[in-house]
Amino acid sequence: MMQNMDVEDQPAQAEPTKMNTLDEPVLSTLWRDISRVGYKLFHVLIPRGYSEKALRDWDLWGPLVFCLALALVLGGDLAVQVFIIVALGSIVITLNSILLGGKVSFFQSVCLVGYCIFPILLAAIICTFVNIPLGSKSWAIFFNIGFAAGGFVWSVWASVGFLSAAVPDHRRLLAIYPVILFYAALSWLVLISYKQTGGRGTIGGSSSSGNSTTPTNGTLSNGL
Amino acid sequence: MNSHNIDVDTNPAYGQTESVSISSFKHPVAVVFHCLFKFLAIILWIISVFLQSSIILTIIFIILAACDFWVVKNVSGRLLVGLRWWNEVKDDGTNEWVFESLENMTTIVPLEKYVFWGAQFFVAILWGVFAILSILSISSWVPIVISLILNLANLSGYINSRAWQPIT
Repeated sequence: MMQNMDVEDQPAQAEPTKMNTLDEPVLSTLWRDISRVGYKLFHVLIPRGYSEKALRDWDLWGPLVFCLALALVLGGDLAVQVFIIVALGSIVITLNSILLGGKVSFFQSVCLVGYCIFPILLAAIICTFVNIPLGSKSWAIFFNIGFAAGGFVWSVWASVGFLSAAVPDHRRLLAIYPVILFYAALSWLVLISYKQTGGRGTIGGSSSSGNSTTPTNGTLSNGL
Repeated sequence: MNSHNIDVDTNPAYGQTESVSISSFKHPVAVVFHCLFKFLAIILWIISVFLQSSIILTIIFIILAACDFWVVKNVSGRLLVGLRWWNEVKDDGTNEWVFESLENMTTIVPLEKYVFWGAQFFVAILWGVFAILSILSISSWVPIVISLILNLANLSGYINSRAWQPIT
């Protein structure tokens, strides 16, 4: 019963079996929510014909987790910008779609925008790992550009499918334009995080590379 | 879980003993978790007044607020007061807020009900006070706004659920 992902069935199930779901063990509630997030993520990232139903059962946990993860991966200075861009940007995109006559609910649209951040999060993680061995080489930036661009294209492709279906035809481009801006801004943050990680590498990396010519100071800086 | 209910229904001492002990709670773990994340967030806020602002603190606040929201919405609401609320999106795109309450409210322990509502109101008011006190320090707006929004969302959801109680 709990593995049934069909949204329309769940409220109907809740009525006659109310005591069951009201008394269910906490772990099964937790697992149900987690598997819903995974299910939605899979369907949003690899769009198929029936993914619209997956999004009807919206939740904001996915967007929250991805936003936090992106903020952590990109590092302190950029993390605040990530929060602000994601929060304001998803609200603006949603308002824009609704005002253009789209038939999406507010939370559904915020949910969609948030889930489509995942490719950019992937790109940020890959870039961070790629920059560790390649940090000091000047051509490493092309890897960053490649991954950031790939994440951008994937995010836009995943989100445009849903949003353009909800908005009237002649307004499709108007609805898509802020989405492109939004993911471009996030991909740009991923790209410029290269300067932070490429320049300093890991915390011990910069001090050791800076002191490679003065081995007598190496022990002092490694104590940091 | 079912046998636990039977014990409670035949034991009238829940919530009615004069001294509060662990046995006067039907769901002690739920009560603990209901208060735990709120308590941690308040402690962290008091500590953060003496520390410089950092992004890690903000992230910890957000995580605590999110955990508290999940616990209150999914666990302590239905276990402690027998109420539930959620949002459904229909096929034509409109959304509807659905509220549910337990038919048989006599299984609800009064003490747990007081703990639930008391903690929820107290924390909402406290974060409102923090918001007013910190209105000048912009770096603390993110945790305050998020904690306020999540707590008020749960509060309003459960107040609306309560209005749907069948009149006994």
